[in-house]
Amino acid sequence: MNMRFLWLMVILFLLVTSCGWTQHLDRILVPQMERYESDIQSTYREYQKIYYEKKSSLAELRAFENVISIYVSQILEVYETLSLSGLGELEIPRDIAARALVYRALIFLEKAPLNPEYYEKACYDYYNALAMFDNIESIPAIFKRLPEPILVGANEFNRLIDVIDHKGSDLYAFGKVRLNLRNFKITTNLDIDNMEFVRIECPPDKKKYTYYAAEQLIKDNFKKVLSDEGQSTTFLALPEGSYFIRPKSQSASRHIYLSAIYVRSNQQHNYFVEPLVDWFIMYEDPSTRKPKYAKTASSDSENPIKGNGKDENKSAGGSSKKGKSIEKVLALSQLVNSNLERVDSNSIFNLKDPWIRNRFATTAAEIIYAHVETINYYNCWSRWMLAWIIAKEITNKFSPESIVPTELIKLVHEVLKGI
Amino acid sequence: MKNRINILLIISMMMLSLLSQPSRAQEVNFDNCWRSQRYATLLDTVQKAMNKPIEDTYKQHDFIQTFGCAYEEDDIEENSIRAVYRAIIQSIRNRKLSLRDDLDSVLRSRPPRPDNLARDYSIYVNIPTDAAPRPARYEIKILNLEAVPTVESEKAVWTRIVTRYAYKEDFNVAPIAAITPSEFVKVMEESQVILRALERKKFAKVRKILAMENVSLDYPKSIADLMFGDSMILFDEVELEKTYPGIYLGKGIFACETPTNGVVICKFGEERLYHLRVDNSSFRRTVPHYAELNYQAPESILQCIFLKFCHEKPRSLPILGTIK
Repeated sequence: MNMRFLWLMVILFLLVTSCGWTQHLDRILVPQMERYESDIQSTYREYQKIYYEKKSSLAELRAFENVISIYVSQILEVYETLSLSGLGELEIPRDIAARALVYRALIFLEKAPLNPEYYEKACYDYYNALAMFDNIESIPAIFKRLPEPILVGANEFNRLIDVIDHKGSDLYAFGKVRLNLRNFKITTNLDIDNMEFVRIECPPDKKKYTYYAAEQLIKDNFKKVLSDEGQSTTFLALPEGSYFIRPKSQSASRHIYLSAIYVRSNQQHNYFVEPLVDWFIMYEDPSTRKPKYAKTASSDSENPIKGNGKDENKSAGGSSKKGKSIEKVLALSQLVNSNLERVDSNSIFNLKDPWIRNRFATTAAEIIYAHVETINYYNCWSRWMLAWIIAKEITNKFSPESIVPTELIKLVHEVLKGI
Repeated sequence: MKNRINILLIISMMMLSLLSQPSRAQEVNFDNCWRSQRYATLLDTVQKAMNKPIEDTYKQHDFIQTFGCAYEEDDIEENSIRAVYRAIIQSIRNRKLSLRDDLDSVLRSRPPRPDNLARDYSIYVNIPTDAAPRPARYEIKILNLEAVPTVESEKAVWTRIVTRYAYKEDFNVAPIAAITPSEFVKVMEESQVILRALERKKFAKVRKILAMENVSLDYPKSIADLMFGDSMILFDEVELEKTYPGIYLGKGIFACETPTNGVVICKFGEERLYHLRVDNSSFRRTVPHYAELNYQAPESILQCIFLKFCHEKPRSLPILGTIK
C-alpha cells in the first residue's frame, strides 16, 4: 500500500513539475521573443534613418542587416524550440516569428534599389512568414494589429499588410513555386551537378528581379531525395516568367519541356517533380475549384462532360444567366449574414441597425460575387489575400477613409471558404 | 604496317560513330511513338505468347492458364512481381474466388525472377458457396517468366502461369472457371488505341471509347486519385462559362481541347498557356477497368506523345491584364 502511494506521489510530482516547467518555459521564452521583436523594430527604424540620411555608409547598413538577422534567427530558434516541445499555445510565438521575418523582408526591400538581389531575399522571408500559417485556421500575423505601431518614413502603420501594401509592391512581382519531389529511387540516374536552371521568358518589367537562390535549392533537394528520403519539399521565389531545368550538356534537347515551370506574379504554384523515363517531369497540382454556391439550386445538378467551348448558360436558354447571378448573390448575402454572427460584427462597422446590417450584407455579397466571377478568384495568391483585397473594396464602399477592419477580412475569408 | 594503320583507323571511326549515337534510353521516335527499330511492343509480344495453348498434362489435371505482364517499374524484379501478381489475380477472377492470403507479401517473400528457381507458390483462397466461403489451397506454377526489352520499357516482363486447386474436392464444389487469359492485356490493347488516337489528335474517337458522355461511375477527389482515362473539365480563364473536356493519361500529362489551338497534350500547369484552368472538382471516371486493373500508361509513350508537340506550345503564360 505504501509502495503504491509512493508511486502515485512520484507520478503526481512529475506531472506538476512538467506543467510548471512548461509554464516556466513559456514565461521565459515568449517575453524574450517580444524583446527581440522590439529590438528589430527599433533597428528597422535606425536602418531607415541611415539609409535615407547617409546613403554612403553601406558598411553600416550591412552591419544593421547582420544585427537584424541575428535577432531573427534567435526568434526562429525559440519558436522552433517551443513548437518542437509541443507544449503550450503557439499563436503568440508564431505571430512574433512571422512578424520578425516580415521586418527583415522590409529591410531588404529598403536596400533592394541599390542591389536587386535583395528583392529576391525579401521574397524568401516574406514567403516563409506566410508559410507559417499554411495549415492553420487562424488569421496570418500580417493582417493582425501590431503590438506597437511601426513608423515607415513619415507614416505610422498598425498592421504589416498596410506596410506591404505601401512599400512592398516588388514582392508581388514574384511568384512562389512549391516543389514536391517524390517517387525518386536510389537508382534514378540523374547528373545533378550538371543541371542548370534557366529563365527563357520574362516580361520586360520583371527582368531586374533575380532568381539566384533557385538553382542551388533545386540541386540540394534533388540530392536529398536521391540520397535517402524518396521525397522532399522546398519552395522557390521566382520572378514572373518561364523557366526550365536542363542538363548543361544537352541544352537543345526537347526533354527540357518536361521540366518547364510557368510562373505568374503574386501567385503560389504547387509543382510535383517525378521521374519519367531517363529524365523527370514537373507538373502543377491544379488547385482551382469553381465555386459551387452551395445553396443555389442551379449548382446541384451534375454536368456530364460535354464542354466544347460553348457557353453552357447560353445554351440553357436566353436570360437564365442573369437569373442565376441574382440567385448566386442572394446565396452569398445569406452566407455573409450567417457568418456575421460568428465574427465580432461590432468591430467591423456600426452594424447594429438591422437595415444597415442588411445593406452591408448585400453590398459585401455583390463585391464578393464580382471577384469570384472573374479571373481574380483563380489567380490570387491565397484565400486570405483575396479576402484582404475584397475587404479593402468593401471598406472603400461602405466606410471610405477608415482602415480595413481585421474582422472584416476574417468574415470575407469565411464566406470564400463556404462557397 | 599500312594495313594495320588502316584497320586502326576503321576501328576508331566505328568507335566514334557509336559514341556519337544517342544512348538507348533517350531514343524517341517522334513520327510514331509505338515504333522502334530495336524492339516490338509488349502487347505484340504477349499476344504472340498467348497463342500458345495450355499443355495437355496440365489441362488433364484441372489447371487453367493465365498471363500477366508489367513494364511500369525500372527494375526487372519489381516488374516480375507485378506480372505474376496480375496473372494470379486473373486466374482468381476467372474462378470467381477471393484471396485469403496477402498475395503481394507472398510474392515479395520469395520474389519470382527470370533467373531464379522460384516457380511454385501456394496460397489460400475462398470458394464462394451459398453459406460461408470455403477455404481452399491453391497451387500456382510459373511456366514462363521472361524479361524482354520492348517499346514500353527495356525492363518489361511477361509471364505464363497455370493454377489449380490443391485438392480435387475443392475443384468439385467450386464454380466453373472462365477462360479469359488476361484482362490486363485487353486493357493494354484499348489504351494503345487511345494513345495512338491522341498521338494523331483524334479527340472525338477517344471520347467515344471512354464513353465520356455517360454517367460517372466514380469521382476522383484530387490528382493523386486520377487514373488513365479519367476525364475532367477545363474552363476558360477569361470567359469562365466556357468549358473544354480533358482526358488524364498519367504522370501529370493529359489531353484537352483548347479555344484556339485544337487538341493539345499538356502537363498540369500548361493549360494556362491556353488561357485554361483545370477545375479540380470536375474529375470523373466513366470507365472502371483502368482503375480496377491499376493500369498505368507506359512512361516512354507518355513522354513521346508529350514531347512530340511541345515545340508548338507558347513559351510563356498569356497576360491576363486585370489581376489585382
